[in-house]
Amino acid sequence: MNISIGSILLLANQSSSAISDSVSFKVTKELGRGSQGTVYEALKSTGETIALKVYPPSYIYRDRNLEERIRELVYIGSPHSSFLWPIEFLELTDGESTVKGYTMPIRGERFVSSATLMSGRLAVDFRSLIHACRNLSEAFSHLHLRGLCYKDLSFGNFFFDPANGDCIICDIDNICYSGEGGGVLGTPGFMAPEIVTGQQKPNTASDLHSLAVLIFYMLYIHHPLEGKTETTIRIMDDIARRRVYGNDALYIFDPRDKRNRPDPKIHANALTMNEILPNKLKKVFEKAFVRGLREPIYRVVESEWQLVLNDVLETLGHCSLCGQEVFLDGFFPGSPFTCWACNTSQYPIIIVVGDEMTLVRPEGKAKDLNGNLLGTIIRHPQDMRLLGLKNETRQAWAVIRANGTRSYVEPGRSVVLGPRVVIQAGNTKMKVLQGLES
Amino acid sequence: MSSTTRPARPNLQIAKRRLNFYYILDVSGSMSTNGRIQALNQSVRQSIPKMVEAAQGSPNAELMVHALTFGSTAQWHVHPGIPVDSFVWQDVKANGTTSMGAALSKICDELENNMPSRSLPPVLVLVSDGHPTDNFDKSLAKLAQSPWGRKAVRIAIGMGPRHEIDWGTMERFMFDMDLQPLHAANSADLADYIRWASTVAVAASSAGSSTGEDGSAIHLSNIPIPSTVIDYGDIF
Repeated sequence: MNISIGSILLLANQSSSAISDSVSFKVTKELGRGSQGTVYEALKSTGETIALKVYPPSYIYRDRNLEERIRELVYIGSPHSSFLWPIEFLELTDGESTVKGYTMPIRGERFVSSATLMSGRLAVDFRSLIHACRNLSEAFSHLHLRGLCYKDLSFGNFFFDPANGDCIICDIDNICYSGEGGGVLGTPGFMAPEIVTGQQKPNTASDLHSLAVLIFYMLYIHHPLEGKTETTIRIMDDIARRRVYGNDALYIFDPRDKRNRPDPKIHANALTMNEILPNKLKKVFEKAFVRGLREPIYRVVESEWQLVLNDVLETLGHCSLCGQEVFLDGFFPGSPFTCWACNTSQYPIIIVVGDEMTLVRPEGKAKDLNGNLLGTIIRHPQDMRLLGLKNETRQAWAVIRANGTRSYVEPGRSVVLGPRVVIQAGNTKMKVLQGLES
Repeated sequence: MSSTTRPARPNLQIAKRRLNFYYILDVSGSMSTNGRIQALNQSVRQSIPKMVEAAQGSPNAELMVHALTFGSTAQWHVHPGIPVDSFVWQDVKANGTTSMGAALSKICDELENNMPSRSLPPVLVLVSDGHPTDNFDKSLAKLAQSPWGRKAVRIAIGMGPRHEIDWGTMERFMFDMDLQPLHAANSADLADYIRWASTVAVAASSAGSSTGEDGSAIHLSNIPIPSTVIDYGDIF
């Protein structure tokens, strides 16, 4: 069938006499040609705009349980809102021939491919990247808890919103119950060693390897197994890939076996980011790519990624001199840290309520001693070096600055946080300090 | 310091490998009939935006486009290679005999002398109706023996009526590729095939796309050719 913009497709099993009240799809745009079919944007006769994936008949023929698989996914329903999950499996006709495919939600324009991040063409902060990784782990967790596995994680099917890390996982065509056959082996580089060497078929454990690789890529802009070995290969063909990602796979930061360290010229990203990222995260990568590399049961599970990434977010500090995000590796109000960007040593800024201390960082929450929310810490819209506390209570706050002047913060407004500012919010007194001085 | 509202991570770009892409185009006299050469020019030109898109999906590949033509002689039309996102196609003209052997020989020299130290498998896309008039077999043997020629992703597109195309030559060019030469009977097919070959071959070389069940990493046979061109049940 020749589908083009403007084509109108009908459900194939409807009789032509009932055509007036039948469902139809008007193709409005080609969204992309994947390796397994073409995705169109279509206007459904019921009024909604949806994405329509259409398979060439040869693909249905080759991947024999594809239809059964997709129908099962439709029946199960989406395990997590991040998946572009099939809504219905359809057989469609243009009046002459028929095609098979399925409908799914449209991917919003705010989502950007992870490939764009890899090309260095995306302005995004660490906070959004870590949120994206955590959301990805959460989505995979829900998928795996249903007994399903994804099989083919790669740059091409992971998208995220650079503003907040919301994410989208598309190309669900290969999802099936873990251990059951069908579909693809994966994308080279993301495939676990036991899949690359042909010892195993994709399953939940190999998904966990792909997940760890993608998280590593997102944060290091580099592959965890591409070190010295890779530099000795002139043409990276399938035989070479089998070595680097399979038989000779070795973590570039393996603490004992140092043969595959990054090359300072070619793999500078890995070395740069290893200086910036916190130790607690590096420990989890080590677990994923040292023992977990060869022994699938020791791979890092999604809940562990979620825990460590949440922890990293909570201690993602702020350099008050240059405004950069600094990984603090824990919250130590009395110890100075050095900013990776401007190299200045400084004490963290904190909010003290009674004997509770809160790190001042974007997205941090100020609470009273009963745990009620008072406000959220945000960036100043004009100056990224400054952070403010937004009044999220119903009453105005009184603010006393270091020089003794007073002002008020109405609900919904924010006050710039700096040393020796005192905020009186109802009965709660918030003192802002730098380190434990004064 | 200027005040911006958003912190900047270190501006990092993934480590890249060079992907040399070669159009090898038949501009012999037989291509001047029935608008074939015009269709060829138009097809190559229209393949570029899709190739740019494919390159963006494979961020580890630095895609450089080259073009070699063969008529009475084999000549570089675009050389050295140009990054795909600034590539502009200048029309080629048809004339003379079919020096396909000389073209392959030039490709062999290129692969031997100009492959960068960090590469992905080169991609060779041959568009022709076959019937070489020089020593094609000798050059093909040389290509098959060269380490980069063997590793190259090779796709042949036969252009013109099926019975006029020298399929033997096209098949031999695609040795070990696990895929048959493509047949472009008309200009619409040609545009589709060149676009398909350009994007899929780039993805296969850079391994930006999925791998099939039989375990090998470079896989063209698993990637369906656009259904508008050939499929089960199509009438031809």
